[in-house]
Amino acid sequence: MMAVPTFLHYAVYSFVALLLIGGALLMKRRPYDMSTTRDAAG
Amino acid sequence: MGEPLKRNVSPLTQYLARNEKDTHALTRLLSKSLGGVVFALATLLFIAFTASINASQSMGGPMNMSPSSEEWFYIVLVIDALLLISAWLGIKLFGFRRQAIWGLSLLVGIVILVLGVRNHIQAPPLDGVN
Repeated sequence: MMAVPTFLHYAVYSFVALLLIGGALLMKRRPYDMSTTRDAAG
Repeated sequence: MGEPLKRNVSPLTQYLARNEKDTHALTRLLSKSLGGVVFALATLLFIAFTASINASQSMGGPMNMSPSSEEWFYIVLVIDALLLISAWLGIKLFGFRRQAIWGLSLLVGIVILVLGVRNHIQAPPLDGVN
């Protein structure tokens, strides 16, 4: 088996971080949040 | 005035117009199933390709034409982009809610993390660096 360059391991971990952070951000953002719309503000 | 026009309409269109409700339900079912299949396939392939980035390769195929680890990384980036587009189309067709998307995103991330860590642990040592 051939050795794997170290940066490729970190590339995979970066992918994982993107997915986890993206999932966490989507989880935090409430759907249909009307407080930020122009009608509710005005 | 309307009669000659009606005669030109194909039987299929007439049938669809008569059973508009059923046709709508059938179209919805078909598009949902298609979306689900596309999304499931894209997700599985995304996991497989992304986890293969840091998998150690065998010593080379016939005539040593298989791409090296670095080349394979760039190929996977392109394939992953295409798979993400397919998954997005699948989500649109299936009509996932936001809650389902973040749950699946976390799940896919954890699966790739487990496979990536396994590849990292099982990787053969680099010469000199260790």
